[in-house]
Amino acid sequence: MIEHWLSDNPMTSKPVEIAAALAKSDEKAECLATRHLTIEKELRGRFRNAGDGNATNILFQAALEHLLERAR
Amino acid sequence: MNTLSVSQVMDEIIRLPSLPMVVLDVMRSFEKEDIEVDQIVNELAKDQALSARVLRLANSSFYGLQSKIATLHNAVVVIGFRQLRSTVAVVSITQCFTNRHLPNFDFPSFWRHSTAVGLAAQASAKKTGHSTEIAFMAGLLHDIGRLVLLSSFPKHTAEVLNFARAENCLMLDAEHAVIGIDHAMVGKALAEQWQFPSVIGDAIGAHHQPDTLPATSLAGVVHLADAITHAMGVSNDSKEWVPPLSDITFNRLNLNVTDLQQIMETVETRIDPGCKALLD
Repeated sequence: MIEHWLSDNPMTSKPVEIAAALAKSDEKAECLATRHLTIEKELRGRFRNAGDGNATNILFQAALEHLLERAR
Repeated sequence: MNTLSVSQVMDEIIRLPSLPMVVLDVMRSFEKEDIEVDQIVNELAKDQALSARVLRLANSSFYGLQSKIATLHNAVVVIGFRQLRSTVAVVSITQCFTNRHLPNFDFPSFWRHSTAVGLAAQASAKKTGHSTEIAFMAGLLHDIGRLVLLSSFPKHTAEVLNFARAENCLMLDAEHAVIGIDHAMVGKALAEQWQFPSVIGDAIGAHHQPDTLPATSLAGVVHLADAITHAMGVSNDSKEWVPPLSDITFNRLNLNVTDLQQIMETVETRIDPGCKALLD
């Protein structure tokens, strides 16, 4: 992760700045993951008949993708 | 609480105010090839209140027209007779059930869901080759039977609501359990009484059981549109559930996940201007 961040920001070498940026990116990833789970849980509550491969489940997948896309 | 019979429901439907003659002509025109457009528009223009509401909707952001439409004849030129007649039908039918008739009913939520189903049905029909104009109408009116039950049988409807809450089940199942008849059957009966085209009445009547009709029927499109709209949680009801989507119907429609997402995007883009135009 550090290497990746440094390759995007070649002019920065201060450890404080690196740490701050990493913390921010972790926070963002964590925030997105939490939001993802909340959306999925809420949506799952609306679906009672979604089973493996059935049409309702296909609709669930489409709705989940749609809502996640909107949340990004 | 006693169950309701079809004849009891029919007796109440007959008592409901009928649509104006000119609106019945408009509804009949959906199934006609040779339409006397000028004659219908002349008759429509005589009803000033209806004309004003139709023009307001036609000029709203829902249609997104660049120039203003001043008269119904002008509307035929700009948006075409097909679009005009849908607008007339929507305006007339929504006016039949208002807060004046049902003061405690959440009309904004009801019409928001109905409009979304109309938009989803329209977007689905574009992909499946059905008429987009008729699909919108059928989607918009798919739950109209609920309004009949609410206005004509308020005690029965209250029982249904209580049962659905207590048993944590779909309204459709609660209707079957409590009154032995469901809003789709009632909606179809109203559609017949108001002389809607049979394609719309059939779609309203079978939107929860689309497999009972041939694959070419619009019922499947409305069934899918209803499920999509509930999945999106359009009406902002925390207790909203997605009714089961029929595998047979979904296979018949031959749509995929990307199609479903595109339909959702269309609904999301158009729902707010649509509701504003219809409900204001």
